[in-house]
Amino acid sequence: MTETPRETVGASIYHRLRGDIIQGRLRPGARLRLDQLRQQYGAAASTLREALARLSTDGFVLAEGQRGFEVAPISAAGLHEVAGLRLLLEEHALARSFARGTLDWESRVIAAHHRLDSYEERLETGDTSEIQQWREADWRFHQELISACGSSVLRHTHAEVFDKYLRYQMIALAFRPAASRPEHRALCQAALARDTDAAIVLLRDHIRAGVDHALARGDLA
Amino acid sequence: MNAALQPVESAGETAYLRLRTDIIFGRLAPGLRLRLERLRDDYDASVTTLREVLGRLASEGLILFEAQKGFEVARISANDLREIAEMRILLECHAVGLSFANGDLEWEARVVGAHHKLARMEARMLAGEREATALWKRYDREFHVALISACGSAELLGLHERIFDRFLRYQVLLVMFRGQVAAAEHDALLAAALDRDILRAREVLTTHIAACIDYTVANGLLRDTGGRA
Repeated sequence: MTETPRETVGASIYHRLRGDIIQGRLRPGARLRLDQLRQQYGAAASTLREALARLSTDGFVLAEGQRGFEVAPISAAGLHEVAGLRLLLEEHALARSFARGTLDWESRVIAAHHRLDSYEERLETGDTSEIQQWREADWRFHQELISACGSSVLRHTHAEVFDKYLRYQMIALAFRPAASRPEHRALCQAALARDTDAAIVLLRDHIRAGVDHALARGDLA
Repeated sequence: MNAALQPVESAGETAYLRLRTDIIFGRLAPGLRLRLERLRDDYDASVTTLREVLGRLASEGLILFEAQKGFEVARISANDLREIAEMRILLECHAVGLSFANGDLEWEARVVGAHHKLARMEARMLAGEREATALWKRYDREFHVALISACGSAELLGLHERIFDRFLRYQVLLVMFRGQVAAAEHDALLAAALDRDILRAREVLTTHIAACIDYTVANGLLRDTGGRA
């Protein structure tokens, strides 16, 4: 989406707030005070209200009537819900994408996997300086896998749900690069072999392991 | 989230719900340019509030923002309808499975009650009383929401609501009324719910939703552009 300068300010504040909530820099349940945010983000109160209203529609922020806004809380039940939705949408999209993907799609999948794999290799050695880039590469790889599904409604909906799932992973600090690396490799191979059944099984295990890992850390109890 | 069920608390919330309803019920036509000065008078809200509201509606896919052009009501296309219908089938069939498995007697009572209102309304529509469209559509929505209301996932219900309303916009804009056939499908859904027959419900739902696309194509209501929405 391209935007005029006047819109750009609003959109960039929206994306910064959204990113800070997903990364956990704005903690679940935290009250969002306009005067504080104005200083922190260097934006006008009206711009902030606009961004917060959008985030409440997205489900990242709760609007409390006249009293203001707070970051949406998290819970174990919430994680199960979001993971369940991610699986539903991603399975469906994977099957469609594998059936329709072209050679260009294969090449995008391989490229995205290459980036992801290289970050996971570094994480395995204990270098955690690039967690955010790794998460971004993970996001990109999963998006590429379903990018040939042929439905923009499906892709947008999936991306929204994926971001909610990502927030749980970031907040629970649920990193398991040693385990996820072979899972991603197997997913990439299944994509090239157009083996939908295998990919769906892998994805199920991949997400279930991610959920268990996040819950085991105890922050969500 | 579930905007329709939140108590109306502020000017922003009122304007949001009014604008949203006007888009879904076609009073603001697809492709219409939305000028802030004009909206300010029509919706009795400040420009600041309106920008907030338009941003939320853009997030939901009901409004489009384009550089140089500003805000406009999202356009419609056969392709977009198909994608939305497929998404509704996916979400609703999944939710039905969870809801039928979890639903208690209270849930059954909600389903039966919602079906009764819808069936009465459909009878009136079939008798030629077409001016009650908005109410009929509301009851249709309430019945479908009741069916999945025991699914136990607020995230799923929230997502479904948004997709449902985008689908509803097409139904209203294209004046879809499939009469007796749709009413019979609602009856079959009710029976499946009481029997907890998930497979049967999914089968009926898929036919029920996909039939709207066939109806659209058969009646030449939307040109199939084949391209992206």
